[in-house]
Amino acid sequence: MPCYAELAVTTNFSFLRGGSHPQEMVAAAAELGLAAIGIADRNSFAGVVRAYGEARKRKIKLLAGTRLVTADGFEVLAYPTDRAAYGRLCRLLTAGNLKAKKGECCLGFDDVLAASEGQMLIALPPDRLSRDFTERLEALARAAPGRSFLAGAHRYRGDEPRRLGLLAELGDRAGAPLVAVNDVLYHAPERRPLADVLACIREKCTVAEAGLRLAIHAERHLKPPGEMARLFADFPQAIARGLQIADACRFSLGTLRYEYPDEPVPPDKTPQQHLQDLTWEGAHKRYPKDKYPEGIPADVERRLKEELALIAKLDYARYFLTVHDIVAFARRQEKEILCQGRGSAANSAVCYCLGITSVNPDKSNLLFARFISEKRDEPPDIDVDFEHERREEVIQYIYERYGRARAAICATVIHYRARRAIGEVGKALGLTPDVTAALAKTVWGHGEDLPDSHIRQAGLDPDNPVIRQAVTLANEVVGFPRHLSQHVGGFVLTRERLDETVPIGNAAMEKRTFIEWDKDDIDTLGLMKVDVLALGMLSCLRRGLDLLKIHYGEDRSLATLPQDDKTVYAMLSRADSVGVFQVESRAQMSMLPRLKPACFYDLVIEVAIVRPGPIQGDMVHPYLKRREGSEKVHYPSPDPAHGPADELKEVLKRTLGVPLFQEQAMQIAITAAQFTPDEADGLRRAMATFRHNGSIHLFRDQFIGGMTRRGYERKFAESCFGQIEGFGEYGFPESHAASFALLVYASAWMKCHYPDVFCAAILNSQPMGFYQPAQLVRDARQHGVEVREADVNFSEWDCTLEPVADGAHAVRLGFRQIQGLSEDELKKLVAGRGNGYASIERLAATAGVSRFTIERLAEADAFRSLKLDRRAALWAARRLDAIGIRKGGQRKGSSATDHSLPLLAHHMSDELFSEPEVALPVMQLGEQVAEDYAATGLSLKEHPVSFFRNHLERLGAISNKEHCREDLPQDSLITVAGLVLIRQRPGTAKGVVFMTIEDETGIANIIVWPKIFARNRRIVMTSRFLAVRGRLQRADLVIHVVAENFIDLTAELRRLRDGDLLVPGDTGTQACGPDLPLLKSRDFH
Amino acid sequence: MRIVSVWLPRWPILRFLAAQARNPSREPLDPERPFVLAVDAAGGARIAALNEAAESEGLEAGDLLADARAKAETLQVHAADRPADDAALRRLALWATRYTPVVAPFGEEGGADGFFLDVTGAAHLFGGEEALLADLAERLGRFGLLARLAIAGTAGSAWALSRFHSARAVILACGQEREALARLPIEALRLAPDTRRTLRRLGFKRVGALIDQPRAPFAARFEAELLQRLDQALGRVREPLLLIAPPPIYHRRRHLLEPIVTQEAIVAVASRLMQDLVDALVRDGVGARSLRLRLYRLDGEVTAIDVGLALPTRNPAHVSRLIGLKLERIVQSFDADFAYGFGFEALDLAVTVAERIEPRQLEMDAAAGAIEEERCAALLDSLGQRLGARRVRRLQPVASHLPERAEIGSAAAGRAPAWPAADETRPRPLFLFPRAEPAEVTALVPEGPPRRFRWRGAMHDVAHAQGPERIACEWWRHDQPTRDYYLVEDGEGRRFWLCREGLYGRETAEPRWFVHGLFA
Repeated sequence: MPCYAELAVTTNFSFLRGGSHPQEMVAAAAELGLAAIGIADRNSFAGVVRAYGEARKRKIKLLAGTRLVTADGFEVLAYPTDRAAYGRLCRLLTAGNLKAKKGECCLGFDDVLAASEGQMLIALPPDRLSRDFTERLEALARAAPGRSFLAGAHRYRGDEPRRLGLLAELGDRAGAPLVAVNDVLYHAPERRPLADVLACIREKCTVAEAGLRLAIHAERHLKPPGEMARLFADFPQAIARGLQIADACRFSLGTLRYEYPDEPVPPDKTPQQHLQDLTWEGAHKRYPKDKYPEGIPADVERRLKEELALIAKLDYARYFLTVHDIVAFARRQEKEILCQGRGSAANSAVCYCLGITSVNPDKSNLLFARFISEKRDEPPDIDVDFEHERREEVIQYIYERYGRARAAICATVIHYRARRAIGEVGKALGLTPDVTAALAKTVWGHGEDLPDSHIRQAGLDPDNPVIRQAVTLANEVVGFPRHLSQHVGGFVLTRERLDETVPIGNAAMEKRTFIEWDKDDIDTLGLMKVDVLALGMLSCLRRGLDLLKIHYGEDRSLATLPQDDKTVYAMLSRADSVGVFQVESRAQMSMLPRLKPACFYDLVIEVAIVRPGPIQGDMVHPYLKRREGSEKVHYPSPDPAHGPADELKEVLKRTLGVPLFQEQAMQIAITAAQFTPDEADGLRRAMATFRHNGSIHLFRDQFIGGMTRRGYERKFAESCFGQIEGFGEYGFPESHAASFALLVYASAWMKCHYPDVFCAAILNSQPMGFYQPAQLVRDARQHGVEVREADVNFSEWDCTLEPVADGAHAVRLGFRQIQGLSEDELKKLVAGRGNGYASIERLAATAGVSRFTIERLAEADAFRSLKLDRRAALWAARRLDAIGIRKGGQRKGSSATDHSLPLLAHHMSDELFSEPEVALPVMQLGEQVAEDYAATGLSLKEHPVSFFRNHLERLGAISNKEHCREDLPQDSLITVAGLVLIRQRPGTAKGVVFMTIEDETGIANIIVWPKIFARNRRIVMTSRFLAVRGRLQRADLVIHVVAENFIDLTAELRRLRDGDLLVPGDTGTQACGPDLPLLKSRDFH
Repeated sequence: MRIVSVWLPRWPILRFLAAQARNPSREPLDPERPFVLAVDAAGGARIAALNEAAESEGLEAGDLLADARAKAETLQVHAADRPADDAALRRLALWATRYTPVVAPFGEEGGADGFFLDVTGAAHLFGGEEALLADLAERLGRFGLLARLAIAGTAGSAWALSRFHSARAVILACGQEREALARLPIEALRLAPDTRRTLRRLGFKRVGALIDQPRAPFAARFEAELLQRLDQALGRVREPLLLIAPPPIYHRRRHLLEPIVTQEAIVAVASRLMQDLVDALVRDGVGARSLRLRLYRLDGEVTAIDVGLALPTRNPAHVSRLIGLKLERIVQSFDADFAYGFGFEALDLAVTVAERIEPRQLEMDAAAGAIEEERCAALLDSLGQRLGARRVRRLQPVASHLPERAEIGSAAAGRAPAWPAADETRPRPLFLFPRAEPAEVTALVPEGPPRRFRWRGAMHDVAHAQGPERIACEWWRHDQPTRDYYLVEDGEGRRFWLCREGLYGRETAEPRWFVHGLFA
């Protein structure tokens, strides 16, 4: 029985080169009976962990190596023989990565030699042997004597015996003997077309044009030992050498042991002791004597003890300390960075006392032990959200504290998705952009593959051979890695050098570095990760809390907000939640009045229930019915022969017998379907990677079969599984929901009691959330907040509060609302304001702002305090250059350095600068409003739709306020009209489009069924202003209009802007208005 | 001054459709359905031009293509080709010199989609202005171009009226500019987009709002462009038109005192004409790729002789030799009285296609490479004159692994193609059969070399074999079996290129053998 080890395998982690996944390579190698397989991608270890996972399963020896390619094209395979050699390779690649731009690695031959200790090095000869190559081979053999080899592949080029003989001789002479390889690019010959297509994508050409750039044949696949022995019949030693190399490489990825960093632990304490000290210290702060005379509540104390015991048992103290260290940094900043932890371990009493979360364990009654499985030997999971504008400070702190050699963000592997795959494959096959676009469109909102029916729908023939080929190949490409990107915030921290564990590279973002492995890889190897995430709402709350302190003297933090405030829950129950974290979307708003949240835990449910999981699992309605009391709470139970009837009661009791959270679905798998913890873990992973490989279906039979066999109703089992599939899209565990619920409560509290503060804070945190400034301002005004226009003499960059009568405040819009301004310049303008600018000329002369900026301010109507309307201000601003006030820059950012006043500025007088009077046409109100929108995205003067009220009445439209009238019968046919705020076509809604439109009285929610959408596609997708005729539908407090007909009124908006609203269009000339974006909706496809 | 403005709405679209119609090999395009031309821009491809159907779908020039696709589901997209649009516009403008020599295409600021004709004092030649516009419209219509025309006293007002007046053809009497312009939107002034926007913001939406305003405040606030455009349109200042320059013409004619009759005499005169042209050719750095010699016979008959060349030339001797060859053919094929009847009183020689000649250094050795190329071109020219240019062909390399697809025969014009250097490890036969010829071969499976083979009835014993060289099919064209090629030598030293089609075991159980070519 011949033996062979393939040592030159390139996977698809050599992007656009390899034609198979690492797992496929390993699986195929195991099936062919190879003695070992060496995975070596170009200057990278990105694919080896996946190969390692598969090799462990298949029980085949894996050599984790890399193909070093120097900047001048010398290629050598490097396989570390031990851990130290592996570390050297990682450092070599790290150095090369950091020298190059993202995605590239810059190696020199000397660098390779310097890192050669402990490596098995197999040089790959070029097509044409050269003097240069021979010299390098000799140098390699001198640097790594006995460990240098020369790769020889049977290439079927017609002269193999001669070439291999030549190579063998060359190798012997140089001291780098020949070793047989097949330089594998794909696991099976059938992948050749795919490899060719990838080459075309790489070379940016079509297969027809590619010519000699394509492979000549399909021989670069994994070959069985027998065939390799035949091909190398004249060189049996070359085969044997491969096996010797494989034997010599004793390094396995399994030996990478993870160790937490030491930094947070003081030298004289054990980690556990330090954690306990910090926890109890924190506990006393959280429960101060003046509010809790009897000290820490007994229940909390008990839980702290239990949790600390569990942490000690599992040796997780250093993990908690590391997270605490990061959070403590944020908290001790002069201007504290608001943060909030979430994740399975985050809502523990320990985390509350450490300040990682502000969710009071009293309120959430989440059991820590439920989230940390003792059996699952894997670190707990804590993600920390920070204010989005200040997260970078935290990231740089981590880099600084642990060093770039020990801390890095992990990677996200960007995979080919169907749309991109068909686009690029189609292009490579020479299909026109039209055809590929049509094909790509068929996956809009669908899954990941392309069934024939969809191809037909796109008007294409699935039997056409080229289209057939494109679809087949694209389906193969789907799931291929495309490139590596940095994870949103997952940090890997290590005690020893991280760059000896995995290569680190530059990210596209400045000052960021990231490793080559993604979350799954890190899980496989058991490395620790802390997610440092950014959250806009935290920035908003930070600002709100600051304003509250300054203007109302209230000093609050997330943990010290008044709890269980009835008015806050009442407000939410009315669906009065514009701007409130997480529950402001339309779907959430329609849920609020039905759920009527009354306590903190209701908010946890509210956050989790409007998600693909519960919706797909059809769990929402049963839960609501049980809550209303119209359905009895009962717990599904197994056949008495198989288990106690109430085995699920413990799991489901807090959600009235209906599984809503991810953890519950997992518990059901274990309890009811009797998954082993390992299987459940597999299910959890499948759930997370569902979108990439769809492996979750493998669990379907086991799950449903397991439950029905034990006597559960099939329907219940199926909907539980449906829910798990839904979680695959956006898993939402209870622990996350609890953390979010706190932010829901905090933002709702602020909106409820201090709408002025909330309005200013959220405007200053844009862009974030669901609504645009126009709606946020409108909502604030409806809640009695006075909002004032931005003005050069009153505004600052941010929106501010100005006191008005009876202790309340008005919101003064900031310059940030005006599009296209530079913050630096406007800050100068504010700094130079003194007692106010008396004239536009004076402002231009003193403020050091460019003329471009002054014109933008004029267009935004910000000179009202100088008695100049926008036209007069613009007219005056245009003149500044001519009277020598300043030679301002033309564009923003070109700040002026010259602060000196022009010679005559002191004596500025009308006589000197007099000029003939020009009568500027008066601006109509409608035009003013349109200009306001163009400059700031909102208008405080009027709502644009109000100008069309007469017109709309002629169309038979009622106002949006009227359409809420209770005496309108259900199903009556009505017409409403408004500006389109939001269009959505969620994947869960099977092609239904949701639109939100707004007029001067309020908003209306429109539902467009697919059939109607198909007929009115253009209007639905493109119009900015429309009238909708449809059926009124009312459920609880939520009103929908189910659309039947549309009238596009977008053209009317243009007339508003042109100011000829009342003048019928001239007949002698063609209308020709310049297009300026009046309003843009937010579209979510 | 009387200036015609010819505006061609949707010029890039029309130009593209015309190109499409001329070249039907491109994939079909339905001009009735939404169709746009796109350009790459920052943030993704954007619409550069669109047809009416696309516009009625709510698309606009400048939209992101990705957005447009979401709006119009079956959008047809092609790449815009601005240089081609400009070139076509120039050609059309050149054509329009049939009305007047003074023709100027619109510049960038004018939209680059039309042209001006200065017909001052020329309109009567075409029966008056109305008739001229009608004729122009009709002829453009024959090209498939629906133009909008205006004639006015200034280029500015003609441009404005052609674009913004509702009538297809407008004639504006001199002195009426002011009234006519006053009603038009300020876009009619051909201003930069920034200026237009600011004017609109200030409330000046029609030209009329500007005309009677004091000038100083505007001069202080706007670039000189504003008042200049206004003055030009109103005829207060002259607007210079950038005339289209016709391509240079290399052309010489000789009237002879005595009619000439002999072939030698004609060749001699042609040679002198070419000599006369050389100065102009050298001055412009070009040579003739194509020439036309016209012979004016005493009785009024004119005979034209066209000569094409493989490489651009300025060599009178070469040209006259080719003309001589051509004459010989004509004389042989025609009747005798072509030359001997009346004789020719005048000859003219024109360069119809001129091409750049790069300056070149001399070689000491006359047989060196560059000269070689010239001699080869001269040979091609001579053969071409005798046999007909299309009959002279040569092989060109094609980048393909398949031997039969690695070359293609094509007309021998122009420079010799560069062939890749021969690869000694991958020999190719001197003679590749048009079709591989089946052979019976004895060889070891799976991929042993041939031992002996029978081909064209004769048995050959293989003395030496080299291979296999494996070549797989071009899977995107046909699904053919993979081939293994062997170079074999039989006992008598004859060398063959044998090919086994189909991989034993993987693709077929019975591979077929062929002889695909012979070596020298």
